[in-house]
Amino acid sequence: MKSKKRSKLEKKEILTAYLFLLPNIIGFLLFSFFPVVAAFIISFTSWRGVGEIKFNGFSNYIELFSHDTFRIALGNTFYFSIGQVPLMLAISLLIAILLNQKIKGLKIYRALYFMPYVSSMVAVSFIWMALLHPTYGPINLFLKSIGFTNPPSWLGDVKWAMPTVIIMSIWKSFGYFVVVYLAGLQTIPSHLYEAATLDGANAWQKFRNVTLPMLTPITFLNVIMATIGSFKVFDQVYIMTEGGPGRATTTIVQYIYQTAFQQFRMGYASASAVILFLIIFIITLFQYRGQKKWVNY
Amino acid sequence: MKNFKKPVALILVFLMMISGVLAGCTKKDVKSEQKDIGSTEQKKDDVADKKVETPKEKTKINYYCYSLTSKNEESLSELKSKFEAEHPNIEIVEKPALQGTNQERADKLTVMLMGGEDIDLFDANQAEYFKFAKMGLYQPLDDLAKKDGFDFDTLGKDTIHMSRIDNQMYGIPFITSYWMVFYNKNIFDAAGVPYPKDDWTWDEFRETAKKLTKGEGSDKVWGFTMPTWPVTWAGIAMQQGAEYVKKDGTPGVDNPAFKDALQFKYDLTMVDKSGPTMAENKLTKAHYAKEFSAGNVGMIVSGNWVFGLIDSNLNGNYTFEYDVVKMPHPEGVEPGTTWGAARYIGMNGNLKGEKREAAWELLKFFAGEEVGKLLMRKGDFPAITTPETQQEFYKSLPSFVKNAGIMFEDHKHVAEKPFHEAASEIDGVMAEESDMALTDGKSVDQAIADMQKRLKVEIEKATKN
Repeated sequence: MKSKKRSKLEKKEILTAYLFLLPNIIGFLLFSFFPVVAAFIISFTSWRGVGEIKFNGFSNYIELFSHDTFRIALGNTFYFSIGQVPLMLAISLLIAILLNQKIKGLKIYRALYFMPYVSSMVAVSFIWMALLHPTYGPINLFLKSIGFTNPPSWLGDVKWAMPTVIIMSIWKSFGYFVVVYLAGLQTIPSHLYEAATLDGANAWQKFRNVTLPMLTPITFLNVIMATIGSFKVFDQVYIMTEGGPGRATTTIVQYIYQTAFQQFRMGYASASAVILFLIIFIITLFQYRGQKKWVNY
Repeated sequence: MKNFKKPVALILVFLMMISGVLAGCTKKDVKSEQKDIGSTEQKKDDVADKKVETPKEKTKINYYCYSLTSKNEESLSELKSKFEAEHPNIEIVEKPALQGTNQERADKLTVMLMGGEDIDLFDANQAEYFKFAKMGLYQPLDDLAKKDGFDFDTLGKDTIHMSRIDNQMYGIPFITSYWMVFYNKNIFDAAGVPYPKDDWTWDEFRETAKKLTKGEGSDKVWGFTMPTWPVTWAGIAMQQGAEYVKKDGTPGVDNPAFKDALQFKYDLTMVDKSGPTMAENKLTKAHYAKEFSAGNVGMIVSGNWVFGLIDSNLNGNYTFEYDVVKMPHPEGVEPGTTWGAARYIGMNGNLKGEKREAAWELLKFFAGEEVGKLLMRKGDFPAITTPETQQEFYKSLPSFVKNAGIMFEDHKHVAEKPFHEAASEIDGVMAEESDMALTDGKSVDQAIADMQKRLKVEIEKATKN
C-alpha cells in the first residue's frame, strides 16, 4: 500500500517537473533541434531557399572543400580560436588572482572587468572601430605622438586585421571567465596554502602547485566554453571588417551567412554549417577525452 | 487550491496578450478605414452604400520597395493615392522596409521571401534581378506586355536589351543611374583651381585632386572621395569597352585595362594620398556623401542619387556651393562616357489570374510618368524622362547647381555590373581582391591574376547550377 502511494506521488512530481520543463523543451525543439535536423537534410540538396528541393548527394560537401574561400574561412577560424582562447584564459586567470586579493574598491574593479561582457557587441564594435581608425583614432594618434611615424591601419591592414579582431574579442569576453575563475579560487581551502607556507613554499610555488591544480576543473570548463565560442565568431567580424580586407578575416560563420543570405545557396550553406558542427563536436570530444590527463577532481 | 492559482494566472496573462494583439489589429483596421472614408458619419454611410453596390472585393497588392521607402514615406503615400485613384479596384498594401544599408534591406527581402511571406511586387538591383528570375521568384511579363501593347523598349533600348533573360523580361527597370563628379566650388576657389570641364580626362582628375588636397587632422581637405565599390576603378576599364565577363562567358579581367584602372585607384589613394584610402573608408563606414556634405572633400565620384543625399544630409542649409561635371574619361575614349546600373521591380512568380493582372497595372505605373516625377524629385533617375519629369528634377535642386542637364544629354552608358547570373559573386570577388591591392595586402598584378582565376570558378559554378 505504502509503496504504491509513494509512486503516485512520484508520478505527480515527475509530471510537475516535466510541466516546468515543457516551455524550455518546446523552445529547444522548435528553435534548435528541428532546425538543426533540417539543416542536416538540406545540406544534401541544392535548395535555394524557395522552390523545389532537389537532393544532390554529397556534391555540396565536395564543392566546399574545393572552394578556396571555404578553406580560407576555415583557416581564419582556427587562427582566431588559437589566437584567442589561450591568451584570453591566461589573462582571465591573472586578473582573477589579482581580484582575489584584499584591495580597496575591489567590487568596483570586479564590476569594471565584467562590463564589456554585458555590453552589446554591436555597440562595442563601433567604438573599437573609432578607436582604431588609422588617421583620426586615438590609438594611432597616441602612437604617432610617441614617435611611431607609420602605425598600422589595424582593421584595414591584411596582416593586422585578425590580431586586432582577436584582441578586441578577448577584451569583450574575458570578464565572464574572470568571474568563473574567481568562483573557483574561492573554493580552494585556505589550509592548503597554510600547509604550503609551513613547508616553505614561495608565492610562485604556491601558485604552481596549489592554485593551478585546484583550478583544473574550472580551466577545463573555460577551455570548452571559450573554444566553442571562438568557432562561432561572427558579430564583431561582420560589423568591423565584413570579412575583409580581402578575405583576411572571413570566418566560417561569416561564410555561411554570405552563401545563404547573399547568394541564396541554402543547401551549400547548410553543408558548411554541418562541417562547423562536426569540427566543434570533434574538438570538444577530444577535450573530454584528454581531461583525464590533466584535470583533478 | 494554491497550486491552481499559478496556471490560471498564466492562462489569463496569455489570453490578455492574445486579445491585446487582436485588439491592436482591429484598431488599426478601423483607423485606416476611417482615414479612407473621412470622419463624418454621413460619409461613412455613403461609402457603406457604395460597398453594397460593388460586391467585388478590392484586389490587394502587397509590395516591398526599398528603393522608394529609403527616400521618404511621403512619396509612397502619394504614389498609393495616385495609383488607387486611377485603379479603384486595386489596393496597395505596403510592407514596411528596414532603415539601414542597401545590403540590410536586401537581406530582409530575402528572409521574407524564403519565409513564404506574401509579397506580390518587390524591387531588386541588377544582380538580384537575375537571381530572382532564375529562381522563379520573378515571372516573365512579355505576354502581359503584348496583350496591352506595352513596349519595353521605351524604357531605354540598351538597358532592355541587357535585361532580357532567355529573351524574356522579368521586371521593369524603373530606375537607372548616371555617374558623374560632384565638386565643391568653395574648395576649388580656396585652392585657386579652375572648375573642371565636361570633357576632362582621368589624368586631369588626378592632377586636380592633388592640387585640392591639404591639411592634417581635423583640418584635412581631401581632393576627392568615392564609394568603396569595385566599379569605382573597374568603371574606367569599362569606359574603354572592357567587360567583366566576355561574350564567350569567360572572365575578362585579364584585359590590361582592368589592371591599369586598379593601378590608377591605387596611385590616387596610396601614392598621391589625395583621397581617403580604402582601409579608412571601410573602417569609418563613413558615407561618401556625408564626407562631401561636411564640406571637406573637393570632389566626389558617384551617381545622381547623391543630389538627394546631400540635400537630406544638410537639410537645405548649404554651407558651400557645389555643381556637377561629366565623368572624366580615359585618353582616346569618347568624352562623357559614363556608367550606371538599373533597378528593377517585378512580380512574384506565383501570382496568377486577377492578382497578376492587378500587379501588372502597378508595374506599368512604375514605368510611367507619375512615378518618374516622384523619383526625379528625390534625385533618382527614372526609366522614363519626359520634359515634365525633368522639370521636377530641376525644381528639386539648389539654384547653384547649373550643369545637372548633362544627365539628359545623349551619352554612352556602360553597365556598372555584369548582366550575369553570378553578378553578386563576381562583385564579391572583385571587391575582395581589389581591397587586398588597395590596402597593400597584395600587388595589383597579383590581385588581378587572382581575380581572373576566382571569377572563372564562380562563373562556371553559377552556370552549372
